[in-house]
Formats: sequence, structure tokens, C-alpha cells
Amino acid sequence: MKRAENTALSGLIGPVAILIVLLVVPFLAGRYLTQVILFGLITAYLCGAWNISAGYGGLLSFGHAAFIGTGAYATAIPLVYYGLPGWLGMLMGGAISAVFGFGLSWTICRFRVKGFYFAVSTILFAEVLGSIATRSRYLGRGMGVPLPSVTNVFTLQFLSVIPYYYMALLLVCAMVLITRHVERSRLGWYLRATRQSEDASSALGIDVTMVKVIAMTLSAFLTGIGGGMYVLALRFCDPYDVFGIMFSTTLMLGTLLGGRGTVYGPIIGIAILTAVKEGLTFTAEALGGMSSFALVLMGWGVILCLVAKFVPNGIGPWVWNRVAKKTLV
Amino acid sequence: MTFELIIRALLSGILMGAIYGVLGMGFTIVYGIVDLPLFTHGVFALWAMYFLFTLFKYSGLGPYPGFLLLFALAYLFGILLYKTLLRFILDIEHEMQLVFALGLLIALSNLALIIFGPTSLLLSIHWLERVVFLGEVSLKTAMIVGAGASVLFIVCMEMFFRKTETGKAIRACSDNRRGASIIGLNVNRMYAIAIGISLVCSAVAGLAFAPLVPIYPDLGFEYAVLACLVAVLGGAGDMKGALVAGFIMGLLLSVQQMFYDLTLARLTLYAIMLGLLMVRPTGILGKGKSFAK
Repeated sequence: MKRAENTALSGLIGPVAILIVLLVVPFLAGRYLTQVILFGLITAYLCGAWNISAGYGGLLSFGHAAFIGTGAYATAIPLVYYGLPGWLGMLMGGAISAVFGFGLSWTICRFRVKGFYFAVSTILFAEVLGSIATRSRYLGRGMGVPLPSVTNVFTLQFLSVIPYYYMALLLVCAMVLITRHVERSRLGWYLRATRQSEDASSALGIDVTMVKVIAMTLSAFLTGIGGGMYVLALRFCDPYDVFGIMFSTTLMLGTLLGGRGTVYGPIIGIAILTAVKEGLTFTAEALGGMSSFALVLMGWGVILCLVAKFVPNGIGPWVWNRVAKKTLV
Repeated sequence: MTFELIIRALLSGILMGAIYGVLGMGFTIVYGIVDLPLFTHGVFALWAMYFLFTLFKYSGLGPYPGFLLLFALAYLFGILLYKTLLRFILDIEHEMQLVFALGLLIALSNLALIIFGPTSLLLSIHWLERVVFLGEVSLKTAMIVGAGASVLFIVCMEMFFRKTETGKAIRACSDNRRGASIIGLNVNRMYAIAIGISLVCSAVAGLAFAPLVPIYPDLGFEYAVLACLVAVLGGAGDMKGALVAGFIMGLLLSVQQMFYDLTLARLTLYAIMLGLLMVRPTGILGKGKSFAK
């Protein structure tokens, strides 16, 4: 018993230490590094959102960008046209995404679409929404929607990255807490059971459909908020970016690499990916002329393949198993 | 809406449909026979296109030897791909197979982007540029040739899988892997051949597309999705279904393009497919694999 208590509390020391470090980064690091970490944090938050439906629920959607884009546009358009405050836009984006998530997951569960067909459905869903955004004149067509560069605390518009940085940090902390809460809640147990065996779970009386739908709706809601955050920080809403397959893939990669179905997995995954990204960008520039963008993406494709084959449960659990074996045995 | 336009839309729909069919067939073979949801095939078609472009631009090799070279290389690459990579992901969980396929798709797409750059390339072969007139309807020779090659290839494949020993052996492996190896079939070799063939399918599709569209890296993803849709519509694993599905999609896209632009046509197509995936995943002819595990 005592040992368990120790682990529970000492389990928090690491993350808290990292949190403290992250809190002071903007004051110590230059603008570029702060910006890199800022977007890393936002992406980590989004991975955490994906983790809820995919890591815990087993619903690996390949098109979560659909929700990112929805949140993004729901924030950007009202802001640009009507001056709606960013935070309100984020909430609205989350709500609309939640509706989409609900519809998508309910339809999928109703028709028992599984595996490959599920993946293709989610990809199509993101593509359809993206095409709508690209075609609609109201939504800015293919050119995207630039957000005005002003400073307005009320609407969450800032010229410097520092306020956004702390907002993103706040979001990540919230995500950690939410994930922990879900993990320990009844929903979390239901999700894990469903992921392992739907038949056994429903035999035990778990409403599998409801569980999946709740997970996806929650995930979509959180993702929508993240999408809003993203465009606020970036000050630009590009349909090929926010609805793109690459954004969906980034979410998947970060979570799978770090450890799906774990609280800190997404953060670990994105930390590694950001390091790899910066490293590859540096290499590409050093080699002169090579598209760093393409090299990074290629690297991620390779990492995805490696993760799928060798560490499908993520590096986090893999390392944890090694460490736990050494300390407990 | 003139009569000629309608006829032209219908004809080009059917012709393009044949090409979509062979594109989808590549995926159908892999998913139906080897049971790998490897939706990477669009990228292989893309690479075929780049290969042809480079070949014709930099070497004096005529078109026909060029095509044969492409097919041979595609086949060999398929075998190599199976032996070095795909063999090892046969037994990992289904979701991870999908993730792997996505990773491969992205890696190959961006490799193409790195090597060939983001600008569109245009392949032009003189005798393919000409336009054929049927009455007052104009059709590109390239489209007719491409469609012809596709149909020819599909028919050959049907024959191969139906009539030849190897074809039947491959089908046996797909029906029952363990059983096939018990009776002495070298399953790995059969799978390798199947993958090789599926890559040649992609090569044929790439070859058919190459003179028709500007070549750029994002096409990889686009064709990958298209191949998936054709395969799903036709029933994953059913070759005749893939062809029929190809025709349907070709017609749908072509007719819609007549009324509005390609983006909206594609959008509607995706939306329809999305609906279809939900309701009838076994595909049009009902012979495809049902819901995945």
C-alpha cells in the first residue's frame, strides 16, 4: 500500500518539474524557440484529444483534421467578419465539432463500420469538409482566411507569441487533467473494456455504442477548441492546413509514438517529433536547397511505419516497462 | 448543353473509368488476396508517372520499350517490397497495418516531392497528343490508348487468376493461408507475386494517366483515395467489381464535371462514397470482403 502511494505522488514530480521549466521558457529562450514550443504544445493538446477516442476508445480516426478545421473556421470567420472574441469562437468551434463528431460516430456505430472502412470514412469526412471550405467564397476559398494582426485582449488577439504560449500551456495542462480524469472514471473503464473486446463488453452490459459515441464526441469537442487555438496563434486559417491529411497524421503520429491510451504519451510523442522536425529542418537546410518540409514529412512517414511495426503501443509504455522491470524486480 | 458535350462526357467517363478500374484493381488484389489494407497504390501510380516522364525526357527510348521496362521494374519492385517490408506486417494488428500503409504513402509521396519538386510536370508524347473525332465529338488519343491498355490488362489478369496454375495457387493462398501452406504452396512466394502484379496494375494506371494530367506529388494521395474508393465500391477483393466500379465512378465524375467543376464533383463523389461505406461495404456486386476484423 505504501509503495502504491509513493508511486502515485512521485509520479507527479516529473511532470510538475517539466511544467515549471515550460513556464519559464519564454523568458529564457528566443522568439523562435518559444514559437516552436508553442505549436508543439498546441499539437500535443490536439494529440491528447485524439488520444481519448483513439488511444482509449480504439477509434483510430485518420481524419481528425475535420474537427480541427471546423474549430479553426468557427473561430476565424466570426472573428474576422464580426469581431467575435477568440475564446467564444473556440467554444463554438468545439461545440460544432462535437456535433459532427457525434453524427460521425453514431453513424459509424449504427452501421458497424470497422477497421479499414472506418479509416477511409474518416479520411473522406475530412476531405469533404476541406473541399467545402476550399470552394466556399464565404469561407475564403483556397486562399484561406488571414486573421488581423492587432492586439485585443478581449478577443484574444496578440502580436507577440507569449500570451498564446501560456494559453497553449494551459490547454495542455487541462488536457492532462481531463485525460487522467477520463482514465480513472467509469467511462475510462468502459472504453478500455470496449477497446479490448466489444463482444465481451456488451455481454457484460456495457452500451458499446454509447461509449464510443461519447468518446468521439468528447474528442471532437476538445479538438475543435484546439483548432481555434491553432488559428489564433498562427493568425491564419488555411483550409489545406487545418483540414489536411498531414494534420490528421501528425495527431496520429504523436499519440502513437508517445503511447496511445496513456496520459502523457501524446506529450512525449510530440516532444520527440518536434525535436526530430527541427533536426531534419536543420539538416535539409545544411544540405542546401532541399525542401525541409518534404524531408520532415518523409521522416514522419518512416517513423509511422516503424511505430506501426515495432512499438505500436508507443515509446512511453515501452520505456516504462523497461524501467518498471528494473525497479520493481 | 449540346449533344456532343453529353456524348463526350459519357465517353470520356467510361474511358477514364477503365483507368480508375485498373488503379483500384491494384488495391483490390492486395486487400483481397494478401489481406493487407495497403492503400498506398496511388503513390505507386504516381511514381510510375514520374518514371515515364524521366525516361522519355532523358533517354531516347521509344514509348513501347519504355512501357515494358516500367512493367518489369514495377513487378520486381513489388516482389522486393513484399520480401523486405510487407512480409513483416502481415501479422500485426489491423489498425497498425492501416497506420503502416499511411506511413508508406506519406513517405513515398514526399520522397517524390523531394526528388522531383513541387512544380507540375507534363508528359508529352507526340502521337498521343492527337485528337480523334467521332462525328463532332473529340477525344484525346491518349485517353483511348490508356483505357484500352487498362481493359486489356484487367482481362489478362482475370485470365491469369482464373486459368493459370500460379493464379489459382495465389487464390488458394488468399482463401486459406494455413491450408495452402500445408498442401505445399509457398505462400510467401505467392504473395510476393500478387504484390508484384498489383504494382504493375498501378503502373498501368500511371501510364494511362501520365499523358492526361499534370504530374505533381499530391496526386499520390489523391489516387490512393481514388483506388480505395474504386475497390470499396467494387467490393474489396473482387476484380470484375473493380472494373465496374471504375466505370461508375468515371461516369459520375465526368457527368458532374459537365455541370460544375472538378472539385465539387470530387466532393460529391466522396460524400456519396461516405454514405455507401456506411450502408453497403461489401460493394456493388456484393462479393467483396465484408467489414474488416
